[in-house]
Amino acid sequence: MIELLQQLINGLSLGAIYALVAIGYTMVYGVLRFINFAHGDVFMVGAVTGLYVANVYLKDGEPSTLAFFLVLICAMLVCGVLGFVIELLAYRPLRGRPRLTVLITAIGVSLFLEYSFQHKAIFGPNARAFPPILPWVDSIAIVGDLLIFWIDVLVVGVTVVLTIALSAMIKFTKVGMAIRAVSYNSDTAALMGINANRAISLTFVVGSMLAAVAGVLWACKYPNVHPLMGLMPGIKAFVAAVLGGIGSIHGAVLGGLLLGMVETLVGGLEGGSQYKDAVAFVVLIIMLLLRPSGLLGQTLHEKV
Amino acid sequence: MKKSDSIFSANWLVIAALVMLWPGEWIIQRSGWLDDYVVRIIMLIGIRITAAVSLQLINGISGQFSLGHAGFMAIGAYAAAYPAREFSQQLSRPLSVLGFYIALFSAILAASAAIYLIYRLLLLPRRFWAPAPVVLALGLGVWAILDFAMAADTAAGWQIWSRGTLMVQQIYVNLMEWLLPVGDRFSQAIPASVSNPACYLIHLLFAGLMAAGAGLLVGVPALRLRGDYLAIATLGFAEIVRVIAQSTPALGGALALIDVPVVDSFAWVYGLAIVTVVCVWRIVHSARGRAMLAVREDEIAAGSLGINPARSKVLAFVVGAFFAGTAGAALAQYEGYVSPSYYDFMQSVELVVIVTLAGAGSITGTILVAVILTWLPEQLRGFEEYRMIVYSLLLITLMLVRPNGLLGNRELLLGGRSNANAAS
Repeated sequence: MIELLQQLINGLSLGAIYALVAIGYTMVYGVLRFINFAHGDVFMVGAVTGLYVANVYLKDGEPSTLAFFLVLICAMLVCGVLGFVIELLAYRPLRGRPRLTVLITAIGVSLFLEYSFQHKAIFGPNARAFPPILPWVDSIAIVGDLLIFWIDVLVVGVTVVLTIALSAMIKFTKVGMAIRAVSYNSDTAALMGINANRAISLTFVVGSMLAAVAGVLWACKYPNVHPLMGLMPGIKAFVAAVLGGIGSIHGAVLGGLLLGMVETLVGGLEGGSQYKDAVAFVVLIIMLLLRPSGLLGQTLHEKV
Repeated sequence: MKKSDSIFSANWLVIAALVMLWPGEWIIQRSGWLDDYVVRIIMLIGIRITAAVSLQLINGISGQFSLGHAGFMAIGAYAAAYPAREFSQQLSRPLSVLGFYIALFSAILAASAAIYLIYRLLLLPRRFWAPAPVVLALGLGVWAILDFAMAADTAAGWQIWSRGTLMVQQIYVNLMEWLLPVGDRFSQAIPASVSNPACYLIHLLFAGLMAAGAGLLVGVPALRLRGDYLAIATLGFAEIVRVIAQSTPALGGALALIDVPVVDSFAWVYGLAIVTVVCVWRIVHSARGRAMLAVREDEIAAGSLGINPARSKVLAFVVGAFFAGTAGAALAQYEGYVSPSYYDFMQSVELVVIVTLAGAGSITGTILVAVILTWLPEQLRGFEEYRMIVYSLLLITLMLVRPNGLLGNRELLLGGRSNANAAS
């Protein structure tokens, strides 16, 4: 029983990271109805940026929580710009083209990011360790029989704060309303005076910022940073978005948390650690077969 | 029948190509005029052509965006490599290999029949309570997980699942015990010059059939999925295959399945490529192929014309998977080993790039692009680090500028006429 609880708590922080990335997928799907394959690589860019900034800072400074948040902000800025540029150059010219074309373009962008970062001039193909910018990254709290890592508490805390902030933005601000309007029907939204392009760009920027946060948090938890690190978490976050209901932000969070916990549970079984990666795909296939709209999504009816 | 539509107009080409295989093998491999590196590239091109043309059938002709082709190739590779290594005794025992496949397929058939039976039984209570099948399925799933997780206790009556799998395994073991010695004994009567090609052929055929079965497994649920979801689902399938292969010690585990008897033959590899191209061509230029193209363009309209879209799409998957499996089998027997990390997402992506660059539906275009995209990176070895960057930029630019691919849906050299695609 204690084992189970321990695994669930471990899975919670993993799930929180998946949730942050899944929000990006789900928001982009909501406004553009397409899967941004390159989102996992924006996650990677966030981690790499965090690594660079942290290294620069640590040359003269001491690790501290404040420094960590500085690193986080820098990564968010860089990835926000990256997301904006990707949308502008690769997806906007293809507005209205068949879905397959955009999907292939997204794969192209993803490959471009992965392999250009593998070039020596940018990062190189070898993994690097994320510097210990947080002085207490390894510390543990012991509650009864459970071990709770403070880093996991940070991850879940940051995710909760960001999710609440995002929900508030979507619900209560004008730009949030614009995004919602564009996700319902972009043509009508444009007729109502909403600049659809701007709303879409904002969606990408916000999604990418969240992915950057997820990247830095992941790098703090699993300090192994390399250009292909975004591939698996990206796909798993997509599965999480589908699990929760693609198009729904709360669904993305729910899906992320669920997937993180299931994956950690499976990884904890004897002989199960090899199949950890396959869990996400099995969940995906089950979801797509039984309930493609996800847990919190509405069923779509195909009209002739 | 219009002459341009007739498949017989290309017959001379096929016959000429087949005849050229044997002098080709001599020139390329036996004479030593070309050095080993060039020969190797030529062989890999041949296998690429088979894989790419089979993907063209799924992606281009029937319009289902599959990112999991490497998974089919992997299944074919393992399905050929394992018996070649264990039972064929350096390719001298074709009947033993045949026995293995019979035993394996029987066990799979038994398991599939059982699962299908359970599926039909689950569907029965639908009349009384709509969610019944899903709830029952979940219950059965939990039961199965508990069953497998508990230690095997032969007295426990509820351990149906583990006992069931044991029974299926017993079918395989018993058939093997019976067939293998018989196969060994009768194979000894066959001269080596016949048994070597016979083994190779059996490997190709049955590995292809295994992959075709997987194609059926993927193709039927794929009917429910649209573009983006289908891509991710097929990607997931390929990853699952790879993970299973890496986790199974009998298949070499994470390292590789080695000591597979090598068949280093230009004639076989390019013969396979020619057969694949001819088969896919004939499918496309037939009523079934026209049905696939119609379904690709507008599924509902095609359905209203009496075409069964499900059948067309699943057929595309099954045939495409079959030839992908044969490509994997040929590759495994050429290399002499099967490494699971080779059949990853990148392999699928490379094949998808070939098909996309060539244009949906263009078979000759696929061959041309497969040759270029396998040969060119070798020439640019010095720029290895830029290769994938250029690839990805090429992909993006292509989608921006010429989304129909280089050749669109036209075929090269055969009069420049469009293939049977009615919507131009």
